[in-house]
Parts: sequence; structure tokens; C-alpha cells
Amino acid sequence: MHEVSIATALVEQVRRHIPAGRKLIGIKIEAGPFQSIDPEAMDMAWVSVIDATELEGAKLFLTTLPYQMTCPKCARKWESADAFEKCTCGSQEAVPSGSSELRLVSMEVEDEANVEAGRY
Amino acid sequence: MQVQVVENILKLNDELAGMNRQALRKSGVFTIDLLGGPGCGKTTLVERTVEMLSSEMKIAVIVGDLTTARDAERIAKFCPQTVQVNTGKGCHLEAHHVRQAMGKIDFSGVDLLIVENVGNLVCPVGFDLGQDVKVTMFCTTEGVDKPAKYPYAVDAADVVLLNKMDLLQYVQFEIEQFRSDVKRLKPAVEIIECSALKGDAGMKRWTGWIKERMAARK
Ligand SMILES: Nc1nc2c(ncn2[C@@H]2O[C@H](COP(=O)(O)OP(=O)(O)OP(=O)(O)O)[C@@H](O)[C@H]2O)c(=O)[nH]1
Ligand SMILES: [Mg+2]
Ligand SMILES: [Zn+2]
Repeated sequence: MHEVSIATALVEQVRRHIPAGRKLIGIKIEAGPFQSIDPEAMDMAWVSVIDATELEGAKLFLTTLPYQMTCPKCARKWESADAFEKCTCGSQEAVPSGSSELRLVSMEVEDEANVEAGRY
Repeated sequence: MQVQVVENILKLNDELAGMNRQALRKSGVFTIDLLGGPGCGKTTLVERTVEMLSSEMKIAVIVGDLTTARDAERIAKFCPQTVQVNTGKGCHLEAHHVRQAMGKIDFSGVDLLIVENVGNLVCPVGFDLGQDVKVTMFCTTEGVDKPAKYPYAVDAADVVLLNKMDLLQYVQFEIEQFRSDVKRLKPAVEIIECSALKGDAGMKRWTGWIKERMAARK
């Protein structure tokens, strides 16, 4: 459900960063696994908030980052989508961390400045 | 053409939350963001907490729900400075909701502000409101797997409450499993087991925890 709030915040953010007169083609965002973002819900939210705006048609690419796991028994470090994954040494006590990022990474915009009337 | 940005998406919310935090601290108010699943007992906890602490300090409450003013009506019986926020379609409180609600509160002499978030273990977690501490509440009737299923709610918590301890004997709830899941996600976090309805020893620990934190900040 918080996907709608995130999409709304994204629109504001894109408008602050987009070079004047350029049309947005797509954006890349990154989310830590703690954010529990459902990719489909995120996509739907994005499409609905940009509907009938100058951003309409722009694609959203979401990368969900893995948990950074550290095993207290054998000190092994690895990445996992599951916060409770067992270590290969058998330990069930690995600690997940670094996982609540939520950021706009980059935007793809049209190369030529768009001077078409009505678009900007 | 690619434009590199790399910026927190919730930047504006975070900035507004920072302003709330500054204003609240300046007024000497300690602020709690209380979150937990629907019906875990947040409003009951607020009622009892106000009842237990109101002889020692002045308290204000902001309560968020999608709709209705029912929680505020309940809490207002114990606390005259209660403001209901209806989020409509929004599944969590954001900094601007709290900012608006703050405008309806007279903070002179207020020591403690409790913000009851919308019942939800996912969405409220990432939205800073300007609080001093985040409190995540679970309860014995929602099943023992909730910390494991909602790890962010544990990770973000300054203290974890396990409510409805009076019902523990009637439900299947392996409390050791609960404790070890919470500890694994956040080894240093304190777990307070309580019954907000009965006002048990756990509730004394909870109000004690609040007072300790308030004292530590002064
Ligand atoms: N047995 C028992 N019942 C409780 C306890 N705390 C709350 N309840 C009951 O649980 C139900 C829900 O309590 P609320 O305080 O309204 O829960 P809430 O988290 O505020 O609910 P929402 O705001 O709707 O998400 C009520 O019937 C309460 O009386 C408790 O410690 N023990
Ligand atoms: Mg409530
Ligand atoms: Zn290991």
C-alpha cells in the first residue's frame, strides 16, 4: 500500500531533477528488502500517478537489494533475499543488515530538448 | 540520455519530519511513534499509559486511522489533548499529517506526545514523523511469526512490545521463538511483555521505559 506514497514522492522528485524541456523515458529506483515493496503494486502505483501528466508513459525499473548477512559463528558474509537464511556452517543466527535503502538512482530522458508546444 | 540522481525518495518527508523534530524538541516534548498491526492494542496501550502517567506529566496524543474518530473518542476520555488524523486512502501517517495535527495542540507544558500510527506493520515503518523513539507492538493473538514476516518493523524499533500477555495461555504462541526472532533481527532491542488491558507489571515496565528515555534526553 505504501507504494502509492512512494510513487507520489517520486513524481515530485523527478520534477525537481529533470532537465528543463526533456521528456522522461524511464527511472531506476533501488529498494532495500526491508522496504517490502511489491514490484507489481509499485508498477501500478507509478502508472496511475503519472497518468495524464507530462510523465505519462515513463517506465519504472525497480531493483530490490538483498540482505547483507553476517554469521556470528563462522564470520561468513553473504547476500540473501531471506533475512532468516541459515549459514552454510549450520548456524541459524546470522544477522541481516543494511536493508532499508529507498532511492531514485537515475533517470533516462530524451536526448533532444523537446520544444513541442504543450508538453512543457 | 541518462541523468544520475541517487537520492532518497522520501527526502521531502524526511525534511518535514526533521522540522517536526526540531519544533517538538524546542518545546521540550518527547515524542513516541507507536506502530503495530490492526487491533494489536495500540489504543488500549495509549489509554492505559495516559492513565498511569498523567499525574506525573502532561500528555498529548495524535491518532491516525484511515477513517472514523473512534480511537480519539476513546483516548479523549483520558487525555483532553487528543487529535484524530484520518488518512483516507493512506495506510500510514506521514510527517505532514503530524505537522497539521501539531497545529491543533497547545504544547505549553506538554512533556510527552504519543502518536498512534495506522494499524499496519509495513507501511508506517519507513516514514519518519519527527519522533524521538519508534515503538513496535505485537500481540500474542496474531501468531508468533509476525517479527519474521515484518522484519523492518523490528529493525526500526527502539523497543518491542508484546501485548495481550493475559491471553498467552489460550493461544498457540511459542514465546521463546518470538524472543529469538526479535533478537536475531535486532540483538540489542528490549522486549517488554505486557497486557495493556489488565495493566500488569509489564505496563509498569513500559511506563518506566518511557520515563528513563525522557530523562536520558534531558
Ligand atoms: N485480552 C486483551 N485484549 C486486549 C489487550 N489490549 C487490547 N485488547 C483488545 O484488543 C482489541 C483491539 O484493541 P485496540 O486498542 O483498539 O487495538 P488497536 O491496535 O488500537 O487497533 P487499530 O487502531 O484499529 O489498529 C480491543 O477489543 C481491546 O480490548 C490486552 O492486553 N489483552
Ligand atoms: Mg487504535
Ligand atoms: Zn556460519
